Amino acid sequence: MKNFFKLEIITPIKKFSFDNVSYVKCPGVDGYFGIMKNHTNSIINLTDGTISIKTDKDEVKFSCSYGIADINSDSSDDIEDKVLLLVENAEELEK
Amino acid sequence: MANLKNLSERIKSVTSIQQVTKAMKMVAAAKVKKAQDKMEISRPYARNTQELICRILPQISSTDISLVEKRNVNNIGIIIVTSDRGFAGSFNSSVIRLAEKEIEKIGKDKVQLFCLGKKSSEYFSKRDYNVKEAFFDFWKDMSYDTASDISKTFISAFENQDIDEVHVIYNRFRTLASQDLIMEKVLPVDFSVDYNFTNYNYDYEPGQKEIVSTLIPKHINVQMWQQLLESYSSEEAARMIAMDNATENAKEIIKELKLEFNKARQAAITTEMLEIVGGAEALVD
Repeated sequence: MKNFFKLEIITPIKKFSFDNVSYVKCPGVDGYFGIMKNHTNSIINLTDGTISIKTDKDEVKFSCSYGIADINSDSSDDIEDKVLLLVENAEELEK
Repeated sequence: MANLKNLSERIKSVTSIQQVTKAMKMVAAAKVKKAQDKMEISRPYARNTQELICRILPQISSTDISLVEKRNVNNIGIIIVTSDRGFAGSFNSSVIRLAEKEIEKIGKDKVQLFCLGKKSSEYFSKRDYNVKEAFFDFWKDMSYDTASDISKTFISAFENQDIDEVHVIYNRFRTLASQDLIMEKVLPVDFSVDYNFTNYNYDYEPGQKEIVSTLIPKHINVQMWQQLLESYSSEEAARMIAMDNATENAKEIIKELKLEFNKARQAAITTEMLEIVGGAEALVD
């Protein structure tokens, strides 16, 4: 269980939460980047693209418009290990 | 007899009015609930954006970001949020009254108006106010994009230095029976909220300034969205109360009319009987 973190995708009209996430791929301004457990705390601008989420059970994909990622997945500090994706628009894509 | 027919027609028409107002009341109640749900959902996004801005903003000098910078105030933009439709008691007139008072305080030629909703758009453009933008017919299928479109117009006016401050006048929902009429400053944005910030190491990409400059318009968008929702739920709540009163009044009127109708009916019967008795007596004699 140690390599999992929480993920929330928050838009003004919807909210998606995931508990046991092992890996997320997000569309950054300079290209796609991945987040795993113990990622450095960072705040990164996002652009239009696809968010791919790997949980302990399955893999989900979302389309998103531009937004921001607030990453707190480093377990060495006392902030809750959580990744927030604040985007204007997010839709789950069909598998 | 003509009087009786008249009365029964009036009773019929008031009854149908009562049915309409009752239906409108129920529709309004459902809409309030819907808008409230939307408001609830938008809260985490609003809170998180604001928190992020408050976290990053103290680390950079705010003069770099145009939307935060305070300027000497020459011209002011006022956003007036009203509805498209009436039948909502004093909902629209109270907004318009406050707006007029504020405009008078500042000076009519220094104010540029952004009117939302047919009521304010019509009122202010008829009276030669400086209406810069008018938005209406969007309440029915209100989406988040509407809010972004609206905020885009006043943000660009602010950035072009056409206006140096932006305020918004709207009804904030308090309870079903009461709304607060509110005037708030939108631009330049004030982040006076004290955020208890512990300095953890954060990586910023592309940079703190760029991130804040993209976050602030988002913050304004979601603020606008929430204000639209507040106004919309207040409008429907006001309509609900107005329609409830109308239904009550219709009930009163129906009661009075029915009383009158029965009196008239009995009077008619009495006269008829008197006539018959009179006629019979005449025959006996």
